[in-house]
Amino acid sequence: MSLTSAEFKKIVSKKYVWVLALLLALFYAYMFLNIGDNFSVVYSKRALQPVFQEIMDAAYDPQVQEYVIKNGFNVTFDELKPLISPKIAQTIEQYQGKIYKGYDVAKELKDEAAVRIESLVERNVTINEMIQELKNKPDTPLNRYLLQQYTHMPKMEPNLTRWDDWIDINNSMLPLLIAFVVILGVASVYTGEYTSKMHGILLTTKNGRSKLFWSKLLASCLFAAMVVIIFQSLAAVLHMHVYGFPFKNTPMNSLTSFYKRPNTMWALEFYLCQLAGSLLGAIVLTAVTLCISSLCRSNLVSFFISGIYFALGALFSQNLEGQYITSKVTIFADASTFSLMSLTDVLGNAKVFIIGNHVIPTIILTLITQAVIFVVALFLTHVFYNRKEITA
Amino acid sequence: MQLRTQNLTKNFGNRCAVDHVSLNFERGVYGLLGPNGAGKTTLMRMMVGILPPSSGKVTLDGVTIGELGAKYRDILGYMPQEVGYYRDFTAKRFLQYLGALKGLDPKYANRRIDELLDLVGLADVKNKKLGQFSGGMIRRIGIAQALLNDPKILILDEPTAGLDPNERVHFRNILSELSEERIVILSTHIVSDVQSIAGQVILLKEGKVVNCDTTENLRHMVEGKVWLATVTHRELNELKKRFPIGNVLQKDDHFEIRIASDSKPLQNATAVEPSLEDVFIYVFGGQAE
Repeated sequence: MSLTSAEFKKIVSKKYVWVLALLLALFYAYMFLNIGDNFSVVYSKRALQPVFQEIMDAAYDPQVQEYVIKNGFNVTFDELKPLISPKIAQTIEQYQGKIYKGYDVAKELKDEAAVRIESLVERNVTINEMIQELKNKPDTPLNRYLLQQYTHMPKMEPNLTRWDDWIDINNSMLPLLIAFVVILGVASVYTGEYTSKMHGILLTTKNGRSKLFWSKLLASCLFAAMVVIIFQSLAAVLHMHVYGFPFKNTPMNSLTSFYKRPNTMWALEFYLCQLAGSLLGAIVLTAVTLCISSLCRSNLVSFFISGIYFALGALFSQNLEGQYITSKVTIFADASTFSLMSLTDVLGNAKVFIIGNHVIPTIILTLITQAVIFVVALFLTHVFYNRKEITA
Repeated sequence: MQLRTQNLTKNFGNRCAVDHVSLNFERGVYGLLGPNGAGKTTLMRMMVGILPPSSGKVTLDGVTIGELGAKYRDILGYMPQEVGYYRDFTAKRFLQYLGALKGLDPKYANRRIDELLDLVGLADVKNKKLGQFSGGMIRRIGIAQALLNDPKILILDEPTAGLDPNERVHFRNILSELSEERIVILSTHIVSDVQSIAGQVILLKEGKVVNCDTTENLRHMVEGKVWLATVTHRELNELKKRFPIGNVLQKDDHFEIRIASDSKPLQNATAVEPSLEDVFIYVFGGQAE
């Protein structure tokens, strides 16, 4: 019998973990399937995807730009119609007379097309203005960095790809669900030995100290990875079902929430980073939970303290969304395990912090902090596990 | 092979649970006797390396057990006072798991598990979950796990508690057979267990070693100090206040009692040959269980 497989089986054989995981998965699925038939989900972006290129061309057409700017970024589709590709109108015409849940589909799509063009023009104008402003601002490290980022951004595209919905998967809810199940499974890894009075026997066996410690760590990390894979797959399947997979990659600045952020990444690249962050964050959380478990004598106490550790980072992060400079106030949230699992705030907003004359991406701080937390947690786990019997 | 404790001391706050205990263990069975709170479990925990001493050390052939680490644990078998187990594990799986922890080759472990389950009389329930086992069955599993790695040093904390008389006899026989090539240290409340198998008996009182000798020598120590007397109920109550009383046997309207006393406690008392239980009564007085 391999120790790691025995430890893994001990974790996954806890029925309450799977019952709660199933309930959470069902709740998550229910929420998504519930919005699956919304007008905006069924039509707004999906119906315009075949004319993605035409909408983009329109937004970059000098004539259209001039008209939109002249009208204060408030134009109708009918006003734009003579200036844009007829294919857009033809695509929308297919839905003429169709009513969906009280919405006139063709009318709504015309509005949507106009908004997409208008919005793209507006966003390009805003970014160009920001670049001009930065050129005139004092030469500070932050201004230099921002200018560098904004001038090297990929060409902005209409926000029709669905990448904003996919990136939103890891914004807050999924990391919380994953963390909950990971903590639930791992919180009792050491306290369970104590409550079942196995602690004394384990510590007196040849492999019951270091080898068991590593086996427990590996088994817990495997469990965390399994939870991440299950929940990320579930989320991907649900998003695929509700929104469909994004039909093309797009720059992050094309997504409405991120267009002002100094982010030069592409959405697919960012989503893959989120998946990696989700896995790494879950593993750090596993190490922290193991550490707390090795210190506590009750499964519930271990569960709650681990939960508080994660929730504090999550709560703080949620209150700070939208900034792109890490400060003394935000540093706790930015370096938190939640931030690593979500990455929306730290990497999506391309957060940076400034030390002297240097601008450093906050993600580096997050990664270093989490690596340190991981190592310290493992060290303390080893110490606590081996010394727990002292006061027993 | 020599296992030694040198000035081994353990303090819990202001309370001294084990007080400068120095003992030598060589091949054979050692019985650790003492009332509750005497420090038996604390001493054993320090000897198996799960409780760091406040001062003093435990050595095996001159090397501290901390330095030996896994090498010491490799030749150690330990059964704690409260045997831990996983409710969802079957007896066989539990022992396989402990076999892996003890670093046994899986094939050898499986063979050994079958032998031990047979030895402790649990072969027919090896696939039953431990959650369904009785207290006595769990103790037998505890004994089996301690023997799994064929340990050179076997430390058993109250191994016979919860076993029925037949099981106790069976267990004593197992220990007697095992003691030839190893150090066996056991603590027990049941004096007869020690009397029949322990070559040396260690009497522990309030954390200190009161005496450590063979059963025979200990009995000699109280020779002429154990008395048999026949008394009434009223006299018995009076005597209880003055002397440690051993066995009380009711016979019609009077009681036949064993009294531990340096001098003759009653006119009709007669000196009798002491048993180890009498030694226990003599040394620990009213604290005897």
